[in-house]
Amino acid sequence: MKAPLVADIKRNALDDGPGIRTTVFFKGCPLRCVWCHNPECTRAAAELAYRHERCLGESCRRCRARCPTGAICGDGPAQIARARCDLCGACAEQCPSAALEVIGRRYAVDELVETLLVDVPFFENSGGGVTLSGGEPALFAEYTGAVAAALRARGVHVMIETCGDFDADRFETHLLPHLDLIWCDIKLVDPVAHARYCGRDNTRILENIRRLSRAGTPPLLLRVPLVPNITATDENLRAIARFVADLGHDRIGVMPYNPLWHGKALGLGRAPAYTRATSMSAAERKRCRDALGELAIVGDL
Amino acid sequence: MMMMAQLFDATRERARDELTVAGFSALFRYMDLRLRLDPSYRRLIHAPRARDADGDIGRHTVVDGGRPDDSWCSRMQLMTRDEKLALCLDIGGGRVRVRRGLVTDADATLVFSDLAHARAMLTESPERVLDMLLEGTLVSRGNLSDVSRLSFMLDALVRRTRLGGSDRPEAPARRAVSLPPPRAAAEPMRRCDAVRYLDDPALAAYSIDDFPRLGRFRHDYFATTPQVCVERPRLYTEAIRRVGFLGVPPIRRQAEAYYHLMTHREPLVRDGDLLAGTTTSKPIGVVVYPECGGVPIWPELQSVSRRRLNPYRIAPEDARVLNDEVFPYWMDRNVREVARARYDDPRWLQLDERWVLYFQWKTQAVSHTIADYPTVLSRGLRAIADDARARAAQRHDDGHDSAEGDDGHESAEGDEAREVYAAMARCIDGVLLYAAALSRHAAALAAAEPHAARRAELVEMSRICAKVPAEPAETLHEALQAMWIVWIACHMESTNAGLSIGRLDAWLQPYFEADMARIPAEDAAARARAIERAVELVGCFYLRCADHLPQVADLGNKLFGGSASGQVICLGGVDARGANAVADMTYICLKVTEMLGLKDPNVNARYHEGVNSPDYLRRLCEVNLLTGATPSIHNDQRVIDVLVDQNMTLEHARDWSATGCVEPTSCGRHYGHTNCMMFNLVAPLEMALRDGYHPLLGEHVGPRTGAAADLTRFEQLREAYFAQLRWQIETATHANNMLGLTHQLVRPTPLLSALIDGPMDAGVDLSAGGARYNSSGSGNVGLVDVVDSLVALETLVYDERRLDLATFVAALDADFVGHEALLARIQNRVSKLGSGDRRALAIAADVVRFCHETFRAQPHYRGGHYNSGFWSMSNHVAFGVLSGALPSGRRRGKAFTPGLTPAPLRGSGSLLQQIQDVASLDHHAMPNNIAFNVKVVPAPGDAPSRTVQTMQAYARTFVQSGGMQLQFNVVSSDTLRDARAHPERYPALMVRISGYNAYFNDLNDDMKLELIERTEHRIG
Ligand code: SF4
Ligand code: SF4
Repeated sequence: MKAPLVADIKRNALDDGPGIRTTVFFKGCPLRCVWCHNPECTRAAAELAYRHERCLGESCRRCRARCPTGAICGDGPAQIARARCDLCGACAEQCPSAALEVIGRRYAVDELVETLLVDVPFFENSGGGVTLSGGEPALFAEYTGAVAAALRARGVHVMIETCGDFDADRFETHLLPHLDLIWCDIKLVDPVAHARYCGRDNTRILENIRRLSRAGTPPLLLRVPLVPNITATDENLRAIARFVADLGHDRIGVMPYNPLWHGKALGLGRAPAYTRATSMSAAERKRCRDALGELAIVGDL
Repeated sequence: MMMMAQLFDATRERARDELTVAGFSALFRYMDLRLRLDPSYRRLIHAPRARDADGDIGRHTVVDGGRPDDSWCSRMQLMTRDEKLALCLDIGGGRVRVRRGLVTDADATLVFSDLAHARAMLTESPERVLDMLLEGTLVSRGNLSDVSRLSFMLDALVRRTRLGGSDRPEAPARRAVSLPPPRAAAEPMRRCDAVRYLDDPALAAYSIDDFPRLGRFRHDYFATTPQVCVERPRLYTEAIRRVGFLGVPPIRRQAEAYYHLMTHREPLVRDGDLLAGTTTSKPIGVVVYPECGGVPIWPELQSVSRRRLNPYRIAPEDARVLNDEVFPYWMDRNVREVARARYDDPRWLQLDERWVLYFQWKTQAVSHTIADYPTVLSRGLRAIADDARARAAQRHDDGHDSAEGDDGHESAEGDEAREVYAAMARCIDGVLLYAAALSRHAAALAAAEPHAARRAELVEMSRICAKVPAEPAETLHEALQAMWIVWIACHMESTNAGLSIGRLDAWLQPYFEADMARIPAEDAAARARAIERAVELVGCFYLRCADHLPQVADLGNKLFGGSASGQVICLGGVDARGANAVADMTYICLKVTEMLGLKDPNVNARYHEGVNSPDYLRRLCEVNLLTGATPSIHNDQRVIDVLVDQNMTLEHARDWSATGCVEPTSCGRHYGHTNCMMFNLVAPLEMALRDGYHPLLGEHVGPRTGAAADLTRFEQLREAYFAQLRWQIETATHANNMLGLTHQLVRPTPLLSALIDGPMDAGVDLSAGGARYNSSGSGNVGLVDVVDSLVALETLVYDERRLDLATFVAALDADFVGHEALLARIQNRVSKLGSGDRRALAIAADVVRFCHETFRAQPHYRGGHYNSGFWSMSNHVAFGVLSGALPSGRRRGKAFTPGLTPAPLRGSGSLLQQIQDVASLDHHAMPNNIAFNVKVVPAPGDAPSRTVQTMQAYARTFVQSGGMQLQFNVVSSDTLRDARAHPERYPALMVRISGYNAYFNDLNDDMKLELIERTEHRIG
């Protein structure tokens, strides 16, 4: 069982489930949604990230001087020749402002568990716990299952945030038994649109959702990322509402669009394919609320 | 050509310099002229007044029997460091004579760093002159009262021309305010803790609208501009002039003056109030204590109503009283100047007047203590006075006995004790006569009152004041009235700076229970009415406590902007036996705290894990959310531990309350001047990096600990820092000791001595060590800045060897300009306190322990010890503004971090880690407590209950992990930014500074920025 890469561990997370939580963001996801808010988590491999707003600029350029492969050339780190970069990390090591960072660190199961356990008192006092997120934590079901099992053995509440696109057998064998709660995305009901915007169709996702719903435990919350003109259309939201209600749910989670991810994508050398640069207006939010009909809304809409 | 231009410049420079010197001469000649020709100007220095009992001795009698003319007599100098400006002013006989040259016997000297700054005094605003005083480009040496008076006369010289042209209008007596509605409603809760009568301890069904009386007082409070009140200084000074300052035992002098004050002050009842008596004669009065810190407001007597920050109104007649009758008398007799004369203008006092190493509070007050209210309530003051008289008589007999032997020493001690007892009794007589006057006044009001309901209230008020505080209280109303009269009485003696109320809830609970027990259990409606009445009475008490403000000169606005008088109420915790003390009155006080949202009284709460219920902690967080800033939360067990460490009995340790800001005092038996100084921990670091040289002071003030180039190992740097720190602690505690001894001469406190356990048995005043427990406490400022700086130095200079120390210091001197990469590396790549970094924690522990042990090792003037603590009031801003760039990456002039709060930097850790790091520090080494400020921002859509749950989890984990104290600010930086731009929209926006609350609008801009820039932790 090879440990996956962890992009980030966020303590004091208050939006990723009940209470005060620590969220682990794994690297690697089967989908490639054009609006992905965590672009640093889609690829399973390590990546060099650049945050230009921290960079000291031409007066510094320690990174360029250090790079053994010449991947950082004339214009500095804004234009990294990623094909040439072998992720040695020498630039990031020298960068005084932490503008450069190699994203992706491997933890042995025990090491990760120990890291997460430091906040147990907060979990206990708030009804919180650990959220496995990403990326897609179910992609590494053996590993994440071992982490979840170890945490639960110490009395920690564990949940996942998943895109739903996973191998059900592996999931049910390794991860499911160790979960207290599942938050699963439901993005687009139309398989063609799903394939177009998320890189794969949604047959397996919908099937997995049905299976999880039928099982009933652990509790399942379905959540829609609200992306204007893609998921946040009346038609799609109505279809989702119907699908969700048919499965017997009376609530739905929402994640309104936030354009802050653009900077992260650019820093990874990717041009955002979806370019909307503003948050959703009050009118757009209201429209979403209406389209979701009778369902109780979980989240800030 | 070049040469010509330079020559021209030089000539112009010289001409301007000459003009400056000539300008000063002309200014004072003009002053002389006005004194001779303008009767209204001359009148300012020739006030007709009664002859002093000391004879017409005027000034310097205290010192050496010097100057004869009390009206205005002074020798002053103005100079630049290079002596290009050197003027001597001989002031006396109604003249000002100016001559060039310097003398050696000036009363006071103003030293400008250079002529450009001297020029600024002639041409720029008074505010700029204050800045110069702070930044050290203008230094005042010698008697500050002389400087104050000269400033006043200069101001009066130009004021007329300014008056008309002033763009700043006088502050109105009342301003229109519309107070925002409450943030949310409280949630009902189950009965818990030791609650006996409240079905819903949160009293969620009630809001301020249910208490129109409180709503009206609260509105008036925010609408009223404070006004300087001269009643106290006038009566006090009048009496001391009669009694004499010299030749009378100080304690008798105090008692006589106090008696005169209490028997002549006006008994007042606010329209509609349930409690009689006021601290001053104004709706919101600024109390003047000329024997301590009063005189520095002198220069502002004509401008204080127009100043930008915290203006006060002052009636012309009141300004006249202060100028003619009060301040001239106290020029040499206030604590600061008596100390200066006694100790021959000591270095420690000069350093205090540079504002950057420490701030000695004894120049203003002792106050930080708590009277024994349970005894006042259960026995009454008359019994205490009788006790004092009996003991005086007893000593008298003893004295006669021993006089028959030949032990003269004992007899002298007996005389002193007799004086103490007599003074105690005399003071209490004064208080009781004031209460009697209130009773008569209420009766008179009742007789004239047309409305029956109000008439009944006034009749009841009159009855109560005739009974308490002389006799024991029997009802809640009597108990609160007794406390309020005694509270006024204490403030007529001791400065309103940190004098604290204590365990209001615990002390009132028996009276509340007695009231409730008188109502049959079946009569639910009557019981509900009694509970509402209790809320209303406590609300009136809070709003009465808000009827006065400390006097703050404009310089103080820069140092302590917006601070109130620090009247702590401390709720909850355990009783002396360790049982749960959270009861009905705790929740009633919390309800009042929630509804009123006042900065003062400063409400603190004790939470005792395992004894107090988690529901109570939740309610504390809820009130904190609803008020934005109060109460602060203490780990009861930890505070009890540190009091036991000080050799208190466990029972006494459990009976503690916060004092002033957050500092623990055992109630009614502990004289612990818990804020005797604000102490800058960063200054010794600045000096350690420069061989004892302090950049702002511009001289080698600290010991020589080696140039930067010679500190080649971290261990050497650490030693250098500790050597500077030790020197500064020794100097500062010596200063406190000397000022404490001066208090014994200028201002003993016989009334307070009668109200605290110890002096009665010992026959010794509190100021001389009569209390059962004695200590002093410091607030050490900038710990996090020091720790982060040492970590950065150890990491970059000594471990990674990226640069040497001298280069680092050069970068600091340049404020990192040209060293951006270094700054970025410090800010982004070096660990900080709050990130869980072991090195940072180890260094923090090292510094904390060193402070504790060094303060503890210092001698103490009244037989106690020094407690060191880590909270900062607003001095993290003041000291920060005066300090250079730091190795922590903090830029020049920026605020330090408040109290013990990790820096607002990336790398200072998540809130959870910060909570754990701060909690991990050894509380035994921080006996004067800490202030850990956490600024949290709820998401707009979040239910308050979720926010409260999260806050409770933070607080509970902090307490369980061993943290001592934390305080939440629930406000977003965006709101604060908006409030900075549109103050009128936020009349009542309350924020937590460090240990105290303030209204955002009252803060100076540096403080506003510090609050905005504090790390904000979004919750939800
Ligand atoms: S080393 Fe860092 S700060 Fe310097 S130029 Fe490269 S990315 Fe920017
Ligand atoms: S990670 Fe290594 S190869 Fe890649 S840009 Fe940085 S220094 Fe060059």
